[in-house]
Amino acid sequence: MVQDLLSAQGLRMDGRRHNELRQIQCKLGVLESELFTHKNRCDGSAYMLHGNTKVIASISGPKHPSKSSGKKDESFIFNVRVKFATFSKNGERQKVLKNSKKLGEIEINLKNIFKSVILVEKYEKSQLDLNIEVLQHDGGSEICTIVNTATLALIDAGICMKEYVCACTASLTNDGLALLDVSHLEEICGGPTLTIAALPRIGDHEQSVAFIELSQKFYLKDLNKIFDCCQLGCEKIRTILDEAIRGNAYEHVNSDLTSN
Amino acid sequence: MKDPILSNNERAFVEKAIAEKLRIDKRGLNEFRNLAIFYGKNYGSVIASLGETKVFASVSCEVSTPKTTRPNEGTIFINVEMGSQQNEPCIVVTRILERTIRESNCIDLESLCIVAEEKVWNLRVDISILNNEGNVIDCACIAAVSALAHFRRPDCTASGDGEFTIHKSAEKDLIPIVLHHYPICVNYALFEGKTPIADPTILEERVTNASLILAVNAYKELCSIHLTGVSLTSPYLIQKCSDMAAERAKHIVEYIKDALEQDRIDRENGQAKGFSQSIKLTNIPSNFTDTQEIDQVMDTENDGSGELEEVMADESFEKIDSDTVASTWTKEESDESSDSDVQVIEESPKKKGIINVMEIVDTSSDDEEKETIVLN
Repeated sequence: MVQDLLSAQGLRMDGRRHNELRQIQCKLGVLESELFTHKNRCDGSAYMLHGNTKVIASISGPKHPSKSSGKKDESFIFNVRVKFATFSKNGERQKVLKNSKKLGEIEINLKNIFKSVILVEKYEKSQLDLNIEVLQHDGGSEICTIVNTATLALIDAGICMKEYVCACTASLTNDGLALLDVSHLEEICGGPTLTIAALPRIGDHEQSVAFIELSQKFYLKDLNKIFDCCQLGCEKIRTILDEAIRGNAYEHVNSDLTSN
Repeated sequence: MKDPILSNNERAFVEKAIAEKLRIDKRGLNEFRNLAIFYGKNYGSVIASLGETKVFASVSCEVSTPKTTRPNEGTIFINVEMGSQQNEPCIVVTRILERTIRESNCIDLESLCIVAEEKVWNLRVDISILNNEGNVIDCACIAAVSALAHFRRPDCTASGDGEFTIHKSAEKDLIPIVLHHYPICVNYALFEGKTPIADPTILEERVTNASLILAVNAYKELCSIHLTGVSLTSPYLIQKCSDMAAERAKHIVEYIKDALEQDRIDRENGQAKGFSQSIKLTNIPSNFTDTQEIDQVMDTENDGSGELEEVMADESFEKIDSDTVASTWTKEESDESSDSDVQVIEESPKKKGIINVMEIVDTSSDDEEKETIVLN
């Protein structure tokens, strides 16, 4: 059963317009690197709140590859570990999923996305670990928030990348209007959901896409509309990430100046 | 099992050939390999083959309790096995099939309900990859969808007080599952994120790493998109691929429906053939050239089983012949019934071009510099 996702006044269930994002708050360097021992030190971290989803990401590396990690023939070892906290889902406590197909899929996707964006040739014969902890999740497209948080963490750690990777979702109403940034409630009410992770264009570069995922069916001719909507969302997210990163850098410089 | 190492020369050759719009197996960039579907003697068991890639799918059902969130719907479970302990590709294939088949609502799950909140049918699709020569996902999807369309479940009647009886096939006819549409996965390997290659072989898959998988049904509805691997793609390309995929899906759905119809007729005549026809005559040692001879040999070897006797009879070839619908599926099988072992290759100008290149490379293979000059 597909409910109306948009009211007659053009507002959605949570009061947003069709092209509005949910609230996003983010912070870089949330984990103190001094607290960790040398073995599992943290070189960069970030926290993000997106709607009702809260994610912490931390980066460890680049470092000398440990003996147990990965295959030997790969020149750049990139490990991703995603964990959902026991209290992450609304309501009751639930068992932590380990090695489930869904977690495995998220990890594989993250690996592929970031391998195509990080300048791999700079990190030959080194290892990079990305740890994701989902503190609270709103169901559905948590990969979107995970990707954005991981981007911030990678930048905090000073890893060279081609561009910011921004992920965003979009859906379609019955009347064929594209909705930006789908919440969990809207997702279970019906409608197809498209998730993309894109590198928004800067200067004269074409926008390119590193990851696409679509669930539920819709007509082929609507693809353009929903895709454009997603890309718009990615550009909006990029501005938010950019602001956070510049703000963080400014703070660092200021604190350094005052301490000296 | 570990994959053999891919040499740099091999990689460079494939990339260079693709850049010149040539492929190693003489296909065009948007050309697919031959598709064949074989139905087993049991309902719901299918072998699908795409070129040398072969996938076996079988559907089974059992009665179980429904999920509390969906008390009047049956469930479907998909399991993919690759044979080796390759974990990652297995997860990817399973998730894509789940997305395509389960989340596109192609199966009417409400019709699988026996007693609401108490008993429903639980479908299980087991997929085994028998041979991986590239493009496993297309083949697995076709096998899964045609197995579901072929499957028949026992009928059951529920009395008012929550009790029900499951009828045996002798008492009441088995009933098919309701499929709203047939979603078909079409896999494109992306070279440098720009050139899409239809139906990649295993070599091409390993060279690029990146592929775009689109699931489309015959009504031009997109059921799922999946961009896997390390790649950066422009949105324009996805639009282009999805149009091509829609065309392909339409052909395949027609092909599956024709094969189902043929199987139904065969069954009515009591001539269900089983899988034995999926064994190619070319795979049998070459001193058996005459089909008649093979027939006799098979007869003597298997007195008991009637299955193999029928297989090698000439009708089995005719079936494949009549099934070839689109022109892209050439009559590979029909050639094999001819007496000689030598396959006649038609020489179209395009094919000729490739053969020439291959020859040139062959002769100068010991000198790499020369090779590149010739190719230019």
